Amino acid sequence: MDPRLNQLLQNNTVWTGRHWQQQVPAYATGYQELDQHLPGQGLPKGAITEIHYHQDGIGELRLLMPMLAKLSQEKRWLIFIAPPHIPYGPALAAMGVDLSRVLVIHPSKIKDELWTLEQALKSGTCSAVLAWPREVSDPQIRRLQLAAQKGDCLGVFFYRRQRAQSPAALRLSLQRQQNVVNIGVDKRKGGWPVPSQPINLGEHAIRGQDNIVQGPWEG
Amino acid sequence: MRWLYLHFPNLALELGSAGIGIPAPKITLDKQGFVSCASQQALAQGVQAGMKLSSALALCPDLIEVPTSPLQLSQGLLTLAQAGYDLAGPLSLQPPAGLLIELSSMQRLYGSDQALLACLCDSYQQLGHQLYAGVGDTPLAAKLLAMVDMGPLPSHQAKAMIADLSVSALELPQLLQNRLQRAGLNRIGQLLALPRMELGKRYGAPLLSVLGRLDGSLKEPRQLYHPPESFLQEHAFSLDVEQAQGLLFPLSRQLKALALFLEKRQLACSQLQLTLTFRQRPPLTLLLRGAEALWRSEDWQEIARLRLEKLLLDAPVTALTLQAQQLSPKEQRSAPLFAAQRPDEPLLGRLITRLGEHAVQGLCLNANHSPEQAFLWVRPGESCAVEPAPALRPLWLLPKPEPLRDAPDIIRGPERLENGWWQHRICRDYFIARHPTGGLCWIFKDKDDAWYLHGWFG
Repeated sequence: MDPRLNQLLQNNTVWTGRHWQQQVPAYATGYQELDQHLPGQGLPKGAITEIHYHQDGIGELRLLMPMLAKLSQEKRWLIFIAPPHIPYGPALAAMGVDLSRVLVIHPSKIKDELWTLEQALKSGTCSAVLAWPREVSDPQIRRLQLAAQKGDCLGVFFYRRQRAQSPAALRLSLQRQQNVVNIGVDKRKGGWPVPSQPINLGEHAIRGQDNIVQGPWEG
Repeated sequence: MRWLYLHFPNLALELGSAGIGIPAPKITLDKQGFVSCASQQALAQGVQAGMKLSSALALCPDLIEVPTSPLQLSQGLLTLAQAGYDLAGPLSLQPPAGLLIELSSMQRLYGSDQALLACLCDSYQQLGHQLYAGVGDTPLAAKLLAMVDMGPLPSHQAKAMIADLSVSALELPQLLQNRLQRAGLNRIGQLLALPRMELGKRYGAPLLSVLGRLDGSLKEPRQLYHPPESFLQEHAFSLDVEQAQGLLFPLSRQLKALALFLEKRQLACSQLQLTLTFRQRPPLTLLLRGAEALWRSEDWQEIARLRLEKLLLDAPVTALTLQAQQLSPKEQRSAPLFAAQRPDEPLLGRLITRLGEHAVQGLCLNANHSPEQAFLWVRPGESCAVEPAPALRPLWLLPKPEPLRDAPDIIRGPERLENGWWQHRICRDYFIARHPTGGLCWIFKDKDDAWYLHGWFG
């Protein structure tokens, strides 16, 4: 870097924008490599975060687990709306989530799904709402964003396909290449997109050896 | 002791014409077919109580006869008693159209009889009832004064007033009344002046007991009114309601009454039964349920709105009955001082009402090794004291294992799970594997060496 520029920065004569980012209220994800790229060092509070992923089982939930475990200590609900599979209680509990704060909701119609989303986000009694919306348009997301703001609730929407653009406050994408999960920040407030980079979502623990009694057995 | 007697002269008329909006002259008839009550418009045209229906109709051709039943009257009186009970304590019913209130115990609360009476008058006038009041040293004296609407009087004036009343006000048997009249005893004062012994010998015990009740030497038995511990309110529509949305407005009034009822008793209620009555078909019963006991009318209104939104009516509704069920003491919760949102759960009630109970579920652990039974679906917020096992489990479980075609790329395992030898025997070797699409999955091999996908490490 040019020494003159460095001097300017040290004299605090240039506003770098980083200070503004740090003031966004956010929940830390618990993955430092990721948090350092996020405004406020985490997922924004009272706003909607979108997560894009293409395959099941690449860490789409593990990414949120440390944060959800912490949020479940608040006396508010963690809600799964229309999840693609059953959120497995034993695994959630093992990762520190208080199951008595977890709700799983299966609205049968798309209309009910949006209604449930809005109610949950704006009620103020939910700390986080995780949803797998089947169909949601940009104006609807804007409306849900306001609901999340009103209810001080973290909304996380999961998509299996890529949306070209969206009014959500933060967009992340998960991709697997060989044995690593790459997470990219496609959109963030007060910053350029961050190209995807490998982040360890606890996969080593899954691959690693622990005290499971190993087979094979007879019969 | 001092007593306040409230008399509702036009109760039958007021109850019967609640559904009739037109300002027409109205009357009610007694059993013999004589006019018992007449509205202001009817009185203005010369109709009087005690007339025959034919003469009343001759005076006023567009007269409306308001139907009344003894049941409706007694229910109406109960409603009045309930309204009165909110303001004054020891209260008893005096059918057909009176209420008796013991005043001395209310003295300290209100300061004066007039203040209490003003409160009562206000509240009954808001309900649309005309009211006569009388205050006396005995219940009967209060009643006699109420019939002529004297209000609170100084004691000596009240005595003079009663003495001046006609004997017929005592409602003695007609024969006895005739005998008294023939003897020239027309005023109550005349009776009171005579020696009791002689009166008893000549006219018998009934007269003595009435006089005893009047001057207080005989105690009058009375039953204290206690408000019911249940809430049931019926609203009959004067015009049939054809749209479910049209029920909301009358219902919101009932819900407000419910909220008041609950607030006074420090109760909350977790279920409401709403009965819609139709003309020619059996009534329809709807249950409104809150996820927890609620007491605010707004919370119930929200739930009712959601329920009625989905309702399609096949026939017009003629009446609406609201009944509160599952009453419980209101939970005393100290609200956090600076919390912006309410900490309670109208959200759950709304979700359950719109989506159904099966669509809103909580999770809890189960002490069972079978993967499908290691957790339970429970009511929201319920928890069970089962410690999570340290074993490695996927965050996603498939509701049903899916058969796998290709041989999987195993990363770790096996872990043998064997369970339920007494029923649905499970004997599986579980592995963690890489799925061809790239995700980490949880698979198992059963006894027959067939592979199944059972979860994802999401």
